[in-house]
Amino acid sequence: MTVVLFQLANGLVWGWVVALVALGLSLIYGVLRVINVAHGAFYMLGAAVGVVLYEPLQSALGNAPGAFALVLVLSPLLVGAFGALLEATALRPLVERGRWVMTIVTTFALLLILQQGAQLLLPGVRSVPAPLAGGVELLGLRYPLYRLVLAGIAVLLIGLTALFLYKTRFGLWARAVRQDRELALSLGIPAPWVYSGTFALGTALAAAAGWLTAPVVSVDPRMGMDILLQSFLVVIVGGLGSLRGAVVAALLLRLAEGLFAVGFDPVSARALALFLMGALLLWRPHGLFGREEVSS
Amino acid sequence: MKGFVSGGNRSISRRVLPLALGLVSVIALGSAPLWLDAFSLSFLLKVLIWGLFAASFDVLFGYAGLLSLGHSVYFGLGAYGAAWMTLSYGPEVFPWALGAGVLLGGLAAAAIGALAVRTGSHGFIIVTAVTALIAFLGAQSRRDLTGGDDGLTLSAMPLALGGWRAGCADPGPAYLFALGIVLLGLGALGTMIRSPLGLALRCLRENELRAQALGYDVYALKWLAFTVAGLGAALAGALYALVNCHVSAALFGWLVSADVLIWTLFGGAGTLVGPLVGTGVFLSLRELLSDLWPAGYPVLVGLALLGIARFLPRGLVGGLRTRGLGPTRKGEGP
Repeated sequence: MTVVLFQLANGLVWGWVVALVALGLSLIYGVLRVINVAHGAFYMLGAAVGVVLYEPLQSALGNAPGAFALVLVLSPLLVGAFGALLEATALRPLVERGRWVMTIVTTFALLLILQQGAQLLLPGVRSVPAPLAGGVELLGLRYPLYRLVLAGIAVLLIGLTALFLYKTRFGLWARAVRQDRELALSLGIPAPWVYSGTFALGTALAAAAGWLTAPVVSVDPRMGMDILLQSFLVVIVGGLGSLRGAVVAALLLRLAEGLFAVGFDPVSARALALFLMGALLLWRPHGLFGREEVSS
Repeated sequence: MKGFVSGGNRSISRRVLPLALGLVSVIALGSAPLWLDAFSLSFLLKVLIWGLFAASFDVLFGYAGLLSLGHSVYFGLGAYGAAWMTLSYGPEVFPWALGAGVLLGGLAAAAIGALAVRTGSHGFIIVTAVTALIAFLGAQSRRDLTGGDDGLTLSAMPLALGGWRAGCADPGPAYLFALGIVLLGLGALGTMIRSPLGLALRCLRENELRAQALGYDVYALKWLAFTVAGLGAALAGALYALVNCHVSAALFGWLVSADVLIWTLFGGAGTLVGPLVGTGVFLSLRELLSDLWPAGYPVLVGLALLGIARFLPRGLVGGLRTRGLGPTRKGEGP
């Protein structure tokens, strides 16, 4: 029973992390129509930048949780600004000309450059100690406190993003561009701002997820690939461009994997969860919440 | 939409010139063992095999307009199919090993293609990327089958021509064997592209709705393109395993899918010859850089991709051709 509970708790925690990464991916796709293959690299960058900043900040502040929280603000800001810069220089000329195949080629190139660049600058595997020690008793199960906090922050960030999208002027613009780009442009919505802002927001979310998970996993240049696979999958299974679908599918994927992990070894559990997602896709080729693509 | 330009004299020169160029290159390639040393011959063979792989990718990307980020899966399966057959039954059965690799890769492409082409054009890219990641992670975790990063080592094909024996470092007569297979494979792909099926694929690339309205079964066409491309990739992979005598899980990796994309784009997607040229250029570049800065190669590939996407969207051969249905027009869709 405790095993089942433990796996479910793990699935829930990781489900929210994947949802956080996939939310950014889905947002970027919805507004820019760019499939950001480099998204996993921004997740990795969030953790790598965090590793670089954490040590000096910790000795300056003398307080591990405080330094961790500060990095959680700084790292997404830096990565988001970097993302906006990359969007403005490399992607926008292609987005504006509607060369969407070339946008994928470009993000693919960014993935190679960022991943290999990180390999050259920060080689090897690093680990970050959890800023909060201790555990919580949950129905007879002792669960690490930090992981619960991690899931809580992920939920909070997803909620804040939703609020941002539905309650602010920028969010209104972004949703307008997502629904009908031509119409939005003709109404005078400043598209360059919306593009850069959305890309910055999406990459910042990935970076936040990267730094949040840094104490749980090991930080290395290839750490983004696994989460990229899962985010891609949940974005597709949830329905391309559907933010709600991505979150639902992420929780579904990780909870299913957690349940399968009770009876099978981790690799088989992962494979079974992936097969489940494939079956869902066969059942609904356009995703759980997706609509059929309309080509104009 | 401009395009189909037809002119009397131009079309004749357009037919004669490629034919002459093709004939000269076949003669040059066939006589290469006479004027190349073992190292250069082995390098040329690698270019040919990877070039076949790039050409098979071009059928899918350049002609059918489907961007796959997971084409390495079928190359890898072809290589491992041939490797497993050779390891089980010895190097004497190499024709069967070739067949086993093609069968394995082709079947996988037929199965994955049936799912992937149904998910829409954007979904297709993601599904292929996901299959590539799954194949790579699977190959890494099943070290007992694949050998992981260390890979599997095979013995050379027992080919001999007089006293000229095939080896792993010096391909020898294996070069002629592989050249023949590569030319057959390229010929088959070229024939398909020139057939009505190839025209239907291009129609699909230019306008899917119109293709549908014309009565084409777009799913069947896409699936067929995916499967043929997978077969071509598997053939290249199987040849690679037999000639190279070594396969590893890295064949499934991202870099292989990235490489084939950049070779095709650089040479010119939708030209079939372009990807071969691109392969030659980039493999030579890598050979040069491997001494100077091996870790930097992926970074340079990435930078080159950025530049191509921005400034050379039609590629080398595509840019040279004045007519031709370049891949850029496909990119100017919705």
